[in-house]
Amino acid sequence: MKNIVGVGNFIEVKKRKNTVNEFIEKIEKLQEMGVDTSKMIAVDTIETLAEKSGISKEEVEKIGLNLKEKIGNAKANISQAHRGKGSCIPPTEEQVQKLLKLGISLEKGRGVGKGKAVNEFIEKIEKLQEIGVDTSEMIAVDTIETLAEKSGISKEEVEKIGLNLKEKIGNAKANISQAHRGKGSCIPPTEEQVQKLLKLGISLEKGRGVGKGKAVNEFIEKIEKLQEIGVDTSEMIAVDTIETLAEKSGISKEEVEKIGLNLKEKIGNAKANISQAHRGKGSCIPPTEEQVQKLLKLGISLEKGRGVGKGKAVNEFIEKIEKLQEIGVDTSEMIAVDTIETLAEKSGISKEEVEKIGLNLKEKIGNAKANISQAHRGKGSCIPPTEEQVQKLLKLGISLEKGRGVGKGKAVNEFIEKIEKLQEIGVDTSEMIAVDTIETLAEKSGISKEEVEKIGLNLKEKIGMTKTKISQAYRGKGGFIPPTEEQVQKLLKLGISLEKGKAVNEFIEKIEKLQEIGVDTSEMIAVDTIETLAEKSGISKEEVEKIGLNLKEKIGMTKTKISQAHRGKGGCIPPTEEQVKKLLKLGINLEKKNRTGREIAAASLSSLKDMEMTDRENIVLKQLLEQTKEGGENIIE
Amino acid sequence: MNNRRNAYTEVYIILKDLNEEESNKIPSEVIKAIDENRNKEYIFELNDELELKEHTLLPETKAILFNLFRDYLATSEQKEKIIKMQNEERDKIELNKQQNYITDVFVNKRQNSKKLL
Repeated sequence: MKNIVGVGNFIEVKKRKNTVNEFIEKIEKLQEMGVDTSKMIAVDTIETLAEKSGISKEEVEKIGLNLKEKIGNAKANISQAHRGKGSCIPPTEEQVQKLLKLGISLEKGRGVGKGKAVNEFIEKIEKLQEIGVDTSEMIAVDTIETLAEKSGISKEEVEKIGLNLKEKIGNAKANISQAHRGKGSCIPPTEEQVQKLLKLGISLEKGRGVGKGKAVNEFIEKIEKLQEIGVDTSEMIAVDTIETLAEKSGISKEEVEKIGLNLKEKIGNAKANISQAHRGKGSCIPPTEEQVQKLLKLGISLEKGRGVGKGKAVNEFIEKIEKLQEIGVDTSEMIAVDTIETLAEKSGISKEEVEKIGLNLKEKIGNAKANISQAHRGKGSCIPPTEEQVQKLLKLGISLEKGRGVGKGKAVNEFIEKIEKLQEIGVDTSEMIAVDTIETLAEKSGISKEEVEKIGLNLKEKIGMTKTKISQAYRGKGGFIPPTEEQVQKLLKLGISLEKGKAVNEFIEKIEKLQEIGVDTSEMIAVDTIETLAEKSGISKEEVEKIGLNLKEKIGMTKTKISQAHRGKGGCIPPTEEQVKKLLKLGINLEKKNRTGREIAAASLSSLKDMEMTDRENIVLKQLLEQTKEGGENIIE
Repeated sequence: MNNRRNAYTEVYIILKDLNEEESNKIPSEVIKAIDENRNKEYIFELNDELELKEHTLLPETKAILFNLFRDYLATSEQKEKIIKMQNEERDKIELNKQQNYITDVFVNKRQNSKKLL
């Protein structure tokens, strides 16, 4: 009897495999010829499905499929079986995963809009990062509110970007991670989405979400230290140790040891691993875009075979531009298809004159500019120009920003015009911040959308970002052509200052005010509000309110952000040297504090309550010390 | 056991961040022993903006740090005070143990005599 049942089961299983496998095969065939199967509904035949994707009947027939086959119905049956309904045998776990990879979810309501959930998650992460929320330490129980809180971002700021504070974003990440690892019932993210998430600092691998990029940061630190003592790291190869690298630059072992680096460390290998991760290989978390850029600035390219001779191409390009301008060639209107010949021609400069300065008329100089521009915008595989090179090019009238090469200064004029228009209808533009759109700016001044639309402006335009870019250009950063003196003055008259450090100045003013009423600001910590700070010094709320300060203001967080900016971290504009000095005079030190013994005592005092553990650890460490002296290591079992 | 290796990593990272003057007071063999026996896979980062006591440290980390403070960083006065406090705590533990033992013996005796009845 058992045998009979066994045989029966075998036949059933075979049947089942065939049905689901046949369905999978058909889906694969359809997708190969471009049919979008992700939006399949129950009444779809192969014909209707192909039709929706603009695939002709003939093409379908060529691959041997029956146009009239009710493929939507087949999917519905398999889905039902998967959910324990209907009379069909459910698909195996392997088949479910195969289908998920093909974008076919068997879960109720998950079939349509493949990857939409992941895309929405990505969008939210981008939005959060834009306002300064650190998403890299997200845990499963995080809501948008808790995540923002951890980064010191107020609820109001989150609400401004239209996100729901109560949304369980940590849970969403957990679901996507599970799907990525072939678990759960959600459609897994595509490779492109995984890469996008990695660039945003979100790893879907188990146990890789927190402390991300530490290895890369440590590598960067070592490179910086080595360069500081004169080690040339640009020619590093995979087999290099710190010792060999230093040797090549004529730096002694002693000098390396002084900066605390291990001579035997295989730094070339570390670079190779990071490069591999950057190219989507190996098992390390790839460096973030910020880290890649930092490395590039240090002359370390993670692209295959691009590490040596950094920036040479850009310098050659600059030299050619200089030579051309010297003989009167206008290079400001250069387009991608320009050769040196066409460029000279446009300015009425003869071929002979160009040949005299040793340039090749047939050289595709426009193409070279396009490549450098792409690299500057983080695209392509060339080493991007250094900040210095970008500035040199800008001085030569060559902007590397998209669509900014022609009509120098046009962007600034357009910005000025918009500001004038906005002010005319009563919009206050003086408090504009980087994330402002015309809509949010108008909203703050109580100006209706209709009024803005009447003056012909686009409500969604990111005007705050434009201001930021112009300010950056004014300070010699970024890729925008800087505003002229005349434009700067015009902006100032409109109440738009391009000078940085407004936030820092405001912070300084508050510190001064607080100190004047007797608040001790020297022990300020990250979680301090003006209220807690005053409380510590025994200053009443009323006294603080009298000087016009907001008790709830997170002044400690502001200090943290300024400190971070000063150390080249975070997204804030760093304080100027003058501001740093001013803060020091006020007893606010932005430098990284070293830990003290006192701090260690305060942090570990509670161990007094567990003397058994304290004594045990004391004994173990003493034993370890003895055994280490005898040459042993890793002796804890 | 794993906690100890992780604790060594936490201690090592904290010591690396200690100011030079005090760091020099801790013998290099101690730091070496901690380094050689720590879990190098364990990720622990210090937030520069937070005081050490504001970080979540393993109980073992606190125990090791306290011992290190007592042995190498404390002034002789502080050391004396700590040893006194630690002895008092040990005495309390011993007293508790003794009291628990007496209670146990008493309870056992009563239970045994009840059984006999």
